[in-house]
Amino acid sequence: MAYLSDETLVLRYLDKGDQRAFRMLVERHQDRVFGYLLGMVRDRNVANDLFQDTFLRVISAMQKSRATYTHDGRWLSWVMRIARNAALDYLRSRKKWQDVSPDPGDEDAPSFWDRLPDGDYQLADSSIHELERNAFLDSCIAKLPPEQREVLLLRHDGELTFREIAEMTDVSINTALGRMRYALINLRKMMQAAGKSELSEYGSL
Amino acid sequence: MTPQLHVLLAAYDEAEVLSDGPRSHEEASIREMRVLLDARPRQSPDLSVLDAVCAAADSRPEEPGLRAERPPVRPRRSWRIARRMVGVLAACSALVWVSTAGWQLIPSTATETHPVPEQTETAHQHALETVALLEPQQMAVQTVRAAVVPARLPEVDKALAWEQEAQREELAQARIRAQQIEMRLDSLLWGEPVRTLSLEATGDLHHALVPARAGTP
Repeated sequence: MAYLSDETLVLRYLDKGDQRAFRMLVERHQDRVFGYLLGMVRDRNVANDLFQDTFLRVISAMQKSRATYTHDGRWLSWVMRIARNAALDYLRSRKKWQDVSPDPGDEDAPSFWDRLPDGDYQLADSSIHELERNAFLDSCIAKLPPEQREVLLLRHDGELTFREIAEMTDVSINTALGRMRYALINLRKMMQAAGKSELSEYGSL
Repeated sequence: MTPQLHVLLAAYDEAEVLSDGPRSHEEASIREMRVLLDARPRQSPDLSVLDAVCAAADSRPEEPGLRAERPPVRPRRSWRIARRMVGVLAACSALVWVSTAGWQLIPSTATETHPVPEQTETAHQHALETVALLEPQQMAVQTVRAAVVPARLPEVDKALAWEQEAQREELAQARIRAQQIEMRLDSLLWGEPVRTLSLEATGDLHHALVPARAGTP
């Protein structure tokens, strides 16, 4: 079967009621949406619930005559926005979402590294021997400030462009890029502190 | 946009790479982190969640593309008319039944003779046997009680007869109405406008259908 674009599948589902088209859409993007949600809430059961809630919202919005999805942008970007709202609703209900990241343009602001508890170095050092590299990387991502973690997850798991991320999170593209840069700096520092030798050849950012 | 942010964009292939020595070093560092992050295994939701989502998409209520396959509206409207007629018929039937039952419940007058049912004869015979077994004092008490019960007055009998006659007329009218409704229902065609029962009974409809004179404004 020839590759069908997201837009084609969406139109098939909306105009012809083709259920296979919708299933194909969900299967195509399930890893992106679920990876982002799992990275945000760090609980697989909660991520499953949020994934289902996200697509129920998507179905409901697509069925409405005046849906928020207006065929103007990418379908995935629209779905990721709904997933983000679902994740933020959950995190706010658990009071786990707070803005602690410094202004990316302010170099004198206290860094994320200064706010880490003292035990994190030892935790990272001991974890490197027990966990695989990817699992360790996930644990480092989980320690990032929420805004930095969100941009990184949207870029790597959601595969959105920085311009789409800026639009979705309602910030300028400079702010989105600044958050990403800080996220990478902090990740690199954590991995270097944990003894990841393969990262040292290029030095720090 | 600062050069540092531009390097970040370039490292993610969203901008052209600047030909600058130190910046290319930073770009290489970013690309290295990017490779590590992209190498993380993909996470998928549980299969049951995926099935639940697709089932929800299957059971969506409104499907614009399938609207044309729905049955036309006309049978629905005709069904409403038929249902309304059935309701009227049921009301008339109930009226007929009540009238008939009331007519049968009224005690017969002295002029009418009705055959005594078999059960009544048996009960009467049983009562005579019971009376024979009673003591003489009890018989006396029962005789006094029978004398105290007043006899029915002739005015009451007249009133009952008049009421019975009125109910018969009402019953006959109800039957005529029911027959008219049945005839109307049999000849009802699709889309024919519904005429109310009151218009049929009073005859006002005929006055309303008198044609206007030629030349009258």
